[in-house]
Amino acid sequence: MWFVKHWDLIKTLTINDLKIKYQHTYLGLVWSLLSPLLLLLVLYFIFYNIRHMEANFAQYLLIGILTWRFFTSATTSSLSVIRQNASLLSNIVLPSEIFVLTKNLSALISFTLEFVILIPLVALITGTISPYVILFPLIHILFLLVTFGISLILASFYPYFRDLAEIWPVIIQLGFFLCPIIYPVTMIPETVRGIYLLNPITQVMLMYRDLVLNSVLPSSVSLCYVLLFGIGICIIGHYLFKKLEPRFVEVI
Amino acid sequence: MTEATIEIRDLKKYYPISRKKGFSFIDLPNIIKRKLSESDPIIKVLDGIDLDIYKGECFGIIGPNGTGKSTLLRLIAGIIPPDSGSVKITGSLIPLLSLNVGFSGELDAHDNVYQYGMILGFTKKEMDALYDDIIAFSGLEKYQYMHLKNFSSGMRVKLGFSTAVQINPDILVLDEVLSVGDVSFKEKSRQKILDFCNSDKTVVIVSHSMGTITDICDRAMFLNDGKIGGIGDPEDVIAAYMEVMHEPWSRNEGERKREEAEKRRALKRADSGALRKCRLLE
Repeated sequence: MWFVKHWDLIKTLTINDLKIKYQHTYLGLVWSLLSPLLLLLVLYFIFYNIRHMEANFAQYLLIGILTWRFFTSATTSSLSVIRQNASLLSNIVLPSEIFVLTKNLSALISFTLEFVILIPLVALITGTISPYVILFPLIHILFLLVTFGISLILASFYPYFRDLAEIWPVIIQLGFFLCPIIYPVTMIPETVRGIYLLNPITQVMLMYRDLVLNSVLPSSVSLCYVLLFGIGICIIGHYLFKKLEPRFVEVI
Repeated sequence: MTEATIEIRDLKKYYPISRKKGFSFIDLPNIIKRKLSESDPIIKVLDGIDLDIYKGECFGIIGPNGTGKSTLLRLIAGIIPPDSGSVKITGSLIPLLSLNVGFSGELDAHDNVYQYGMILGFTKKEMDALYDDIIAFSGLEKYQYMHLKNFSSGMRVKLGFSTAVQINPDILVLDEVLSVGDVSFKEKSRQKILDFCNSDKTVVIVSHSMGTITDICDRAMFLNDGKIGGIGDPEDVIAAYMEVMHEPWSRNEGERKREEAEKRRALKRADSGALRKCRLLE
């Protein structure tokens, strides 16, 4: 497999990606923690009036924010990754998925760091934390599958269809409100809730919340659903990518 | 020299003259099938190339700008797909078409060497073993931990070349990377390329320096308008090329140039002498 063969390169590129991202800011990686925390504060006070709808609204918000942040940063950075590496790809033969995976992994590292520091931190202020939280890597992996699949599709279309760079941020904006980040799922009308819950990212958020807030293991139905969705989208993404890859060098 | 390591058969590569804006979903199947619609105006960059390059050979490619030399190299390396025809490669191949790709200005030389090395296919372990040699070869020990954005372009290329020469493929594809760095480094890098040529490796090289071609190549090809304009002994091929380009060419070219330069310099000296006199008078 390409990612086994090029594992050393993927690792190096991921580390270098994080280095480049943070080395020129005074706070460095701390920003990765500070910015979701600031967003949490903002949203917490804006939606202060609905805080009673959830037992632990701050933690509830935080999980939504972190989950969405990972999805946004992984897909947005993957989108233009082929173009960013245009000169490299036109001079060297490499499976270009490497660059998509690298962006996903570096986003996953930031996400994990945020998760293991911020969730306990907010738990300190707002109350208890469930021991089930240690199972989070399992959901991380499922989530990565979904994100990687979507990133592959975006990255393979972008060289041919540059408008995607304008369209995707709008979809991200829309998605922010279509996922239960700032409101509880119960606010969605019963009639459309079935469709609403088909969104794999909603499922991922609910699973994280089950672990952290409700001390419940995610249901096997949602685990299977997200797993199958993830594998499915990765297969589609991979297929499209392989179909469109040979001409990347000529169109970027 | 009997076994062909690169077999090229009726190779064609076309480029549309104006690329349509982005793409439409109707075009998608055509893009996937690599078809250009017939109404599109195209340039035939390579139009039916048949070529065998043999094991252990050092093969030079010359020709005017825009005749598809680099495109041919990219096709051989498998970076772009042909529109028709085939390229068959036996053995491992590494293209060195440009030297500081894969470098990032925001990282220091150490990180960049590792990154570039792994892009060329080395593992982390191999890079640990090679790193000291690479830096020593580049002569940039002092600058190991300086960010690459502060490097001069010459230093960057030196670093790239030093990393790149560590590779050990069966077939090496080079595009004009010989003339790198200052005088002493140029000699070192020339020697490295010669070592490659003298081993049993196959080397394909594109160059505009006729001296390089005659020095190191066993055989050369002159590419003209996407077709083979001549192939065989480097001297003959260069002569054919020069005839097409209406440039005089002789083996004593270098000698003649040096004499001309000498004359120019002598003239200049006389001029500046006159000027100095001028100023004294004032």
